[in-house]
Amino acid sequence: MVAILVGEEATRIIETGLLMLLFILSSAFGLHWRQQAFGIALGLGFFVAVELIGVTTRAHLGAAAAETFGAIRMLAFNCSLLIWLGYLLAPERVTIAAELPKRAQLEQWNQAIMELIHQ
Amino acid sequence: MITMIVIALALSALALFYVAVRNRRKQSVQAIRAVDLKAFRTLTERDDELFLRERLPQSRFRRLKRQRIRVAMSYVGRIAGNAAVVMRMGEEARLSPNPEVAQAAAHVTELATQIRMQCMVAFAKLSAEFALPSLQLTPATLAPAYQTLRENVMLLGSLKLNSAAPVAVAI
Repeated sequence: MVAILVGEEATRIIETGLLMLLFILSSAFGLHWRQQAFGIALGLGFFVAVELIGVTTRAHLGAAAAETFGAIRMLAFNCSLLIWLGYLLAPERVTIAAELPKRAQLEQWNQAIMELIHQ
Repeated sequence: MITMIVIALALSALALFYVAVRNRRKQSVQAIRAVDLKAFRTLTERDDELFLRERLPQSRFRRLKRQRIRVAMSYVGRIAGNAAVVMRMGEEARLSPNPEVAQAAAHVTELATQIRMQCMVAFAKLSAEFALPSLQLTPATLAPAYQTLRENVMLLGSLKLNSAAPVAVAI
């Protein structure tokens, strides 16, 4: 039983680490996720992180925490399902490029910059 | 002890996912923001820095340099943000049935990716200079690359005729 818990804990640590790496790198490189892909990764990440806390706590506290762990696990999985459903059903967000400064002002800035660069 | 580390890892993962959701919401209303390249270059000018180093007392110079670095970082952040928006636009334009537009979009996306990476290097250099103001590690390669990106976005804008043109002017 202990070996199974340790194995599951190790698996969850790897899963959580990989998902964290994915989110960190995509944020660092400014990569855009499609709505569905983001939802799937987020739902999986949430479930795996909660599962990791549950497995670790259970391994630490013993069988006494089994019932609580079961309930938390069920709740986390339901939340993940809701996240997946939400992101799969929601329409893809569109970038709004409405807050551009006035064109005339930008052209003045642009001219000044070009003069500086070509000096 | 190991239990605490593992729980901390899981909690930080949850915090990271929360931040990712929040940033995604922000991204959807993110637009290209104007960058004053003249001010950016002035900020990263080594001659100015040498002048200040010679004229000011050491403690005041350090304080001033840190202020300059803080502002330079905000410029680099803005350029990085713009590069990310251009990457998104480029990805959409790459699917264009017009091969010329698709090719220009591919070029722009590649360049924007390079700039994004250069911004990361620039951040690292500026952070090192912030920690040790006596260091001299200006991100000097960033401004010319950003200018090239501007020109490529302008080319893409002229190919697409309508939508990307104001963006090219903006950046």
